[in-house]
Amino acid sequence: MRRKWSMAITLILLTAMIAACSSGNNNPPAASPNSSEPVADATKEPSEQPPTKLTMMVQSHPSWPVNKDWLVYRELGKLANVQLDVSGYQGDWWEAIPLVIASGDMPDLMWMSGPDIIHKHGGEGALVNLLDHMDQMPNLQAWIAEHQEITDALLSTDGKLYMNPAQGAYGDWDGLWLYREDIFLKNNLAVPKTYEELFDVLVKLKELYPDSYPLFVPNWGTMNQIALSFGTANTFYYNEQSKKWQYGPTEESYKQALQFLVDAYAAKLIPVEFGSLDENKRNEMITTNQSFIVYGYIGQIDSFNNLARGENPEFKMAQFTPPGGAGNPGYHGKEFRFQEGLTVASNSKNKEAAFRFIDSMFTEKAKEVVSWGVEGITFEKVDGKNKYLPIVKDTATRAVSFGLRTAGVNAWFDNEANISLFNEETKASYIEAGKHIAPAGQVATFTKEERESISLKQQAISKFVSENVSKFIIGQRPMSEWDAYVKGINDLGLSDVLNVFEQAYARSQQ
Amino acid sequence: MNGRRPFLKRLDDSKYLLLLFLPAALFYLIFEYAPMFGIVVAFKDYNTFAGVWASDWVGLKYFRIFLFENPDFLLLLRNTFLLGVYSLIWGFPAPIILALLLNELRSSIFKRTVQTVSYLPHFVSNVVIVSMITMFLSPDGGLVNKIIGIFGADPVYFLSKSEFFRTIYVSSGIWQGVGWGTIIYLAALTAVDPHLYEAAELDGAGRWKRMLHVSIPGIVPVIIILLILNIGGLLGTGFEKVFLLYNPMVYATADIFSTYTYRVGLLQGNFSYATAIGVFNGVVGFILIVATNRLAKRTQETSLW
Repeated sequence: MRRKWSMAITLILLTAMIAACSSGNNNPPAASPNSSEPVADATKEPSEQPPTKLTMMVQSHPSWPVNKDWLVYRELGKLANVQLDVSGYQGDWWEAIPLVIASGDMPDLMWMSGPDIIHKHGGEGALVNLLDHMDQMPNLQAWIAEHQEITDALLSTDGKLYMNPAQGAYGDWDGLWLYREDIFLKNNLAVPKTYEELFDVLVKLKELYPDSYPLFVPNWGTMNQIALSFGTANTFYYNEQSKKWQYGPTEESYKQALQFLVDAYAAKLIPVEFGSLDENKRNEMITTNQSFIVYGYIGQIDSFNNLARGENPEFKMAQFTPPGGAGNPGYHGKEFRFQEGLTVASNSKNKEAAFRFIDSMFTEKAKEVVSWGVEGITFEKVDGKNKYLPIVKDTATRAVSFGLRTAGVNAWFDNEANISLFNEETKASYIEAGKHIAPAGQVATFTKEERESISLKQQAISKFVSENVSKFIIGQRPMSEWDAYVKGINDLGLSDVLNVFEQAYARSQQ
Repeated sequence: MNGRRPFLKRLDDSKYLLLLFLPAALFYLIFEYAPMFGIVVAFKDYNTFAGVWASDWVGLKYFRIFLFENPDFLLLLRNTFLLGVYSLIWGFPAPIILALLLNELRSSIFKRTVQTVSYLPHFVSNVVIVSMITMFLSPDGGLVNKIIGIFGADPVYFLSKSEFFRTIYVSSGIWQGVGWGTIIYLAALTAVDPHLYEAAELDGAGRWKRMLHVSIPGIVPVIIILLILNIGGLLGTGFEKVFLLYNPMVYATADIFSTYTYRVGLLQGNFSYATAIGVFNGVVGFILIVATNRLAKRTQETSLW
């Protein structure tokens, strides 16, 4: 009798355990699309229909995690007569997106970033070609007509547009050279115009501050910026003069740029720990007068100043007008293409509402909503211009509290809103830096076969270059071996890769 | 023995044991065996939208790309293999030796202190360890270079030289793992019959001879089992520590399969390619483990199965 009871209790416990564990593990994928009544009567105004529910998945940035109740979702929803049900991708978005697609349970709208991922999944059939539905998106069509290059850069090899184009959210350029204005002023140093002058200035700085490494170059990635100022690039690029695709790291001007770094390392003008530096080390060096010139982002002017002024009230980080090399103009970087946006799932049951929503983002009203928010709550009009109310202290609160400038709702953004949040110092640097931006580069879009044919070679070339350029800089390999290095790159199939670039580019020009 | 009892009767006799085993069996079936179907992705051109079954079959295409068309394959193989082998050769005996030494200690307080201190590094994350290594080896004021400076030599930028990478990786690995590894061996040593020690002492064996002829033979089965397991994991050299520690200047010795896959497979989202590399790793590990097991069975009569 006792054995029977203990058997029964064991079985009950086991069943309870299995039930509990299985229900816990079953995280329902993002709320399945609600199929509301399809818009049966096309003649009715959208605003007379009840709002359609649209599911949307966007990147949940760790600094401003997705909040379903954000003001920006409500307001945009009102404009397009939809009700947005927003959730964030679980984990890293580049890993999560393929998983969501593979699960077969895609939300109506999916945020994505970068042409590669949209071409990949668009090509698989997961995403709708927006160009097939321009009749339902008149505002977007008008916007595209005004911003043709931005849109063209997003087209697939067969001319399809899988993601809405965007502009303005992060300004027109990405990073800039910064320097310690106070140190230069204190020691009467002139801002160099060429890389020869820069070298002399660095030598002088080293004499004045013997323990410093005046130019902060953490790894070979800095060649991205330096090569640009020498009229070349650190990768494949389209040369507007020769009208050909070229590979920077084999060119003569690149060799000169590299020679600058080689000499700088030998003279201890750039950190001797080249290759092993991280952000913490960089911040440490900058704030303790061990490094004076660095490449960074506009927001870092403020962060560096705030970090250092506690101990050193004269510390001033400002825009460093980029010197030019080998007779070329100096640049901070290339014009920045903001390539993030929304895609529509091909098996969505609410495509009309999705198109309506995307279209609505390209109206002036929506531009104001996503950039400034709601008048009276987040901004006010002063002398005809918009101005944030004190509740919006900085970019962080703007995003965290209201969802302004977050993923998926920043298609057409008013960059003035960003500038208005800068303090005077940053604003001055921002405006000055904008004068030294190179035009955006040309883009070559590959078919799947083309991409596969060059992918391995590109990888091998990239690895070879990063390894050898680094070795040149720290002196492990002498620059006299430059020709052997160029031959090494050619032997890895460089001309084949360039041919494919030309082929793909020619196709896109038709 | 009479003929074996009929199958059903034997099943009935052990029904409670089977019931106990059931959850574990289900776990392995669902989480370890069922996902093996995913290996088919390596042979297909995986289209995430169309799904696994609808994707095109490409056979050995990605294996061919990885093994034969990849100019770096031999380099990656050599690096992964050598890092694993060196870790094994130097890192495997270290806990054994430490355990044998600890076993000889008389003061139990000292013994316990040493044990605790030695297995603390195991719990420190790789990120912290690599930061420490970078600091100690820094050419600009790092501890090691300061010591070198005392002897009058120039500072050496260790982390930029490929010839030092394996040494740095293996020795820091030993420091991380030696204390933790001694736990199993110490447990095995306590199981050695104390009468054997007494008998050996009576026969005139000193400390050293006792260790050689009683302690070591006593833990040989444990050593063999752990050796087999470690060899099976040879090609799976950890991604995290290598990735944090390496830089482009040491690719020649530091680039291994997992870091290569990360740069190529992950960043391009090519599931099929990454799966093919994973299958390759798995097949090689399987061959190694079966071969080692067979070798162990023939020479030592101890083996995993």
